[in-house]
Amino acid sequence: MFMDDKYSIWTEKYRPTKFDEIVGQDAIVSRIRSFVENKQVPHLLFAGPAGCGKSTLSLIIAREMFGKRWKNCFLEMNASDERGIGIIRSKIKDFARTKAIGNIPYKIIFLDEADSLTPEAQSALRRTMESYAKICRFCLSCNYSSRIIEPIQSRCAVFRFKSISEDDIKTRLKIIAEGEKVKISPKALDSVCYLAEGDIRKAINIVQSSAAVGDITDKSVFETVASAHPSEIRKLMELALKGNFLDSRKMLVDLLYKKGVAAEDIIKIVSKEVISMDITEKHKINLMEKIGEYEYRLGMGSNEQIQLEAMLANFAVLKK
Amino acid sequence: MIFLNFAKKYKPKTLNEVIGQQGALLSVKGWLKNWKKGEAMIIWGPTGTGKNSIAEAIASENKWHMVKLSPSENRSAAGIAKSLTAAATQRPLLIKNRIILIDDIDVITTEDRGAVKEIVNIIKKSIFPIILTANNIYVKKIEPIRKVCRIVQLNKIGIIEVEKKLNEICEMEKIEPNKLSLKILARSCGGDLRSAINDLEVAAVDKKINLDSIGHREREINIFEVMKVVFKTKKMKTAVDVMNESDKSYDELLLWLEENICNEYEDPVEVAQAFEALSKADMFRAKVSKNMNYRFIRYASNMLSGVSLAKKNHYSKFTNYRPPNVLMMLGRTKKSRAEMKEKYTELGSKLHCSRKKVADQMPFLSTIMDK
Repeated sequence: MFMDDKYSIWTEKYRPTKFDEIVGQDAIVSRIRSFVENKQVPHLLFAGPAGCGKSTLSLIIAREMFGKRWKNCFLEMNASDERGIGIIRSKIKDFARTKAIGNIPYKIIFLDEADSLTPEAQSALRRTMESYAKICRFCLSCNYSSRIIEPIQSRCAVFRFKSISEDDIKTRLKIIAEGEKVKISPKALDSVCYLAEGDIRKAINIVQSSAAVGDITDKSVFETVASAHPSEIRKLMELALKGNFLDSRKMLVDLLYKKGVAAEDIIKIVSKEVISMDITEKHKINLMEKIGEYEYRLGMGSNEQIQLEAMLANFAVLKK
Repeated sequence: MIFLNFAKKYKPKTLNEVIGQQGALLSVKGWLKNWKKGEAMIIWGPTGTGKNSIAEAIASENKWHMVKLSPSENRSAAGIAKSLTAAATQRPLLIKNRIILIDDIDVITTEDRGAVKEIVNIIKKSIFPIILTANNIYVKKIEPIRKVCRIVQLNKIGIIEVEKKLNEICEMEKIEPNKLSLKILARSCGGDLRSAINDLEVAAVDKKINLDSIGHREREINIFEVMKVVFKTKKMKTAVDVMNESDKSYDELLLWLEENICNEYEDPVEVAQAFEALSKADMFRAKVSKNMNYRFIRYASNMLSGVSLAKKNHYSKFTNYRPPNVLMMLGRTKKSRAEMKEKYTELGSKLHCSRKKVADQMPFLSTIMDK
């Protein structure tokens, strides 16, 4: 699997590059636009669900502010990849403390998924924001602003993004379908919107993978999503529920150590899958209670494998 | 009177005099009989069970010459080559046969650079049988040696056999035999015959056994033994005690238990309860390491014994306890995980996403990119 041209991925090819192209966030866009036109940008905090335009908007701000040389004045970082305090002390500080060249007197640092920074790292960040406020502006994005410490929130202009409405997603998808010369039926559009749950990145991904097999129909959309479903984790649960703990343990070890799936992600998917499984409603709620218990222990404990195994072993004996 | 004399004096002179290791002796004899160039043998097991005695018995029984290399000597690659190469490859005129003994190969320090490689080298070219001994052959660094050797495991010597041997010694030394004292000595030695004989010698200075002077030896217990006790006992104290005496750290014990629960228990309810105990022990453990709250260490170690208490009935079967798979697995998959991380980072920078988000989208992205 290799990607020479990032524009082969439609989410990138059709990522808006102008304010006007952003759909579904009109109020926010007009405020930000006036900041940019006055060349006065405060520290920003974007809060909102996945795939609603937070990163896109910050990229547009950089383009509009700095013009052609925007890449020199804009640092994009992802806090969930590097979440420790070290990153604040080194990379961010190094970028922040050199003065910008050009007619704008400051640079912009975009810190994506800032809510995954540890509280210590956030406190360190707060100092950096203060010390370099004259020559550097921060734009933080997060899913839940409650996970950002208050001192940072109070230093930022907070914008709450809504998930994008079905109509707006459809408008955007139609533009893409036209550009790529693929046919998409109205019913397929409905299904994509239903499955994407307001996440436009997911919607575009669904459309592009469905297009890989031809015209996009209601049927091909559902087939694509079903095949992209995290079926391994579902199988893991089914094995455990059937009482076959040994095989489910084997799969778990594979997922954790061969595929490198995080324990948190596994348990998150497990809790989602339970609801749609073919078991009695009473059994579902019993399982849900167990899953909650073990997700709690996952946070409290130190050995993720043992916690997940204890959960699966419990699944194997839980009375239906 | 010279102390610590009995153990030497009553060392077995022939293989048949070695006690308590019938199974192992059979394989040793088989190995000797069909010995071919390049075939070495590792004898491993707890202290005082007869590793050295077996090697020495072979030499004295057949009147073979013996060359010994112990950890007290220079065991760097050069040192080994110097003291063993000639001994292993040249046959002196007057010598019928020779046996080479390399002691305690699991004791290889960082100073002994290249030692493992050199030993393997000598094993391959030796024209005489080589015996190696070790307390633990699952030490990672001696893996190359383990691969080229036949492995013979010695067990702890049973109480009755130790008692019998002590009785014999009493007779020879004209010590007034006291049944109860001998029983106590045999029981408290934990399968270590040498220490039992030494204790007897000290206790019987005036030809009468007096146990007051004998101090209790704190011994580290082999992890396989620990597993056996923990999985077979139904008493909390027994389980906790044996785990405290183990040479493995708490985290290693946790992994060993995790690996062997399914190995021992067959009833899903027992498995679930055992894992439940581990899960709770792990939480207490985390409390200690995250908050430095050492009060909880007691609960962490006591909860581990919940693994013992999970069973309804005693399993009298033989279980082959295994070392934890996870550690080996992590080593094997390190490279592929690093590659995946790199790929996701690269994709992430192109798609303005974190690695986690890339992983979420991966099912779609792989269909798209396959196209």
